[in-house]
Amino acid sequence: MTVSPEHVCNQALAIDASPALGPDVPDQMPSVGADDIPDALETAPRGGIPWHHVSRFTTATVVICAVILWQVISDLHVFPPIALPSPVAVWLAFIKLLTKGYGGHSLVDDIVTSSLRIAIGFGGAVLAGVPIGLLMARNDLVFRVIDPFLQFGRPVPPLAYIPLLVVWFGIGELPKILLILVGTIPVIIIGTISGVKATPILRVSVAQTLGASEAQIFCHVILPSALPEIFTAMRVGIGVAWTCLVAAELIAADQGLGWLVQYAGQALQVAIVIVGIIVIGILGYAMELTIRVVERRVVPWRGHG
Amino acid sequence: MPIVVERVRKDFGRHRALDDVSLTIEDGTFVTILGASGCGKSTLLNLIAGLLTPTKGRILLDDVPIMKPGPDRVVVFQQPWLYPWLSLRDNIAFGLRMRRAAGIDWGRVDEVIGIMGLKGFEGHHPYELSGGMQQRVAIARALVMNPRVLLMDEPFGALDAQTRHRMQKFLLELWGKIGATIVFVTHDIDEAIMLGDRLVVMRSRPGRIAVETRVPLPRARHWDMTLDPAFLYLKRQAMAVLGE
Repeated sequence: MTVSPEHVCNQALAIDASPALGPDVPDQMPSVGADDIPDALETAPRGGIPWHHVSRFTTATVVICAVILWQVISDLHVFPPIALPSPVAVWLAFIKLLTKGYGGHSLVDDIVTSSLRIAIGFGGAVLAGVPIGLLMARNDLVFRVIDPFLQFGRPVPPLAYIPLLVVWFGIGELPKILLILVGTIPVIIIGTISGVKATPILRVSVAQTLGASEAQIFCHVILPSALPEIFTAMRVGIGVAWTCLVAAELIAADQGLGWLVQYAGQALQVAIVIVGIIVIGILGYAMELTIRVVERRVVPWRGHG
Repeated sequence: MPIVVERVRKDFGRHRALDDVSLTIEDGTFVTILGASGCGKSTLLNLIAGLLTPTKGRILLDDVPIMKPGPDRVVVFQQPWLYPWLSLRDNIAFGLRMRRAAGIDWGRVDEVIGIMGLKGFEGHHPYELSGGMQQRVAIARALVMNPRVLLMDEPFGALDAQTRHRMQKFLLELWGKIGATIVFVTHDIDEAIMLGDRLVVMRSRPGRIAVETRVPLPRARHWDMTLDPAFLYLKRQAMAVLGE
């Protein structure tokens, strides 16, 4: 994966710092002398419309308009109701899924099942991937041993492993967790390595002249320096993990959100399929948000050098 | 005991950065090394720091060759290179924390914070500080180690003119108090003459010492002295070497 941290960061900040702020926003202050000039430019009131409120309002408006449009289209019977149920029908399906469930278990069961698989698979990938990445970055021999597997594994879409995993391990929990692990771990390892390699050399020199040993430099300088990139990798990785899991559940499972979508689809229960898709989307987004919150606590200096 | 640089050569691949450099730095002096960019002055400093090893020749401290970096020769670089995950106080205590066995003498840390005029900012993180303050933290982080030698590699080069001025004045006062040896690398002629007891001017390609002289100005320096005939004489000499 070659997703630059800036890129992911920009995506993450897209809502707060939208380029549509308008022409009255002053440019970044020049760095020369920035030191002594008070923050007059930055704190000066922009005047006029509070743009970030407008952009939040815009998001809500767009969502509401989309739902209304959806309702109108389904009311007009442009498509048969079985193919495009109305938002109301989807809402009712959601309530039914919550209370009565579908295919033997409730929506909550499916959510818990899928979330547990993700937690174990992704947690395992981080717990194994970060130390492996650190070792590979520090030790040339370890790098040479593991790198070929990584280079081979990267271009293979994780979904291609599903048939193999089913043959080997059936449709239980193990193959799904393994698939998440196999799909996510390269992202974590590569992010960790690049985090270590991105440690500014002078940051290390400073520690050396202050008398730090190799081990101390590793713990107190290199590891914290690598953390921002490790978090970027985790954010990319959680998306990959979620995709892997849902795909695995689509193909071979008897429980979970992917299974729900697949099972309902076969019975032409499109409203349930749509509920499943929305829940999958929301959960995936929530996981990324969770990591972002943890990241903000663990690496508050991110973006500040 | 002085630092003795003995006929040092340093090559980077086929590029010869320094050749036949010899220099003796007496204890407690303030030596400025002046040269154009790329003349090898930073290389010389890094050699004394032990971050580099000479290709030929040797550098002695107390008659022992310098082989690796150590807290008796702390470097302050052009950029402060603070650790962004540590508070100001923890940044300053970093070197003390790296000393195995001994605990951290927080009294000493706070004393240095006071000397450097950083009181009240102990809990701030580097990104909450101005460039001038960050560089003061970097100097404090070095001072707290009580280094025999303070090596400074264009430490004020990234600061704006006013801040640089203030920091130069401050450094002179500080040096009067701590009495460590300071080796200060710069490409700014005025700065080199204003700060140094001794002035070393380097020529480029390969880096060699062209002039080494005492700065004949009284120790209590003033910016009026930039008009002193002795100052101007030295400046003219340095300019001739630097080819300006």
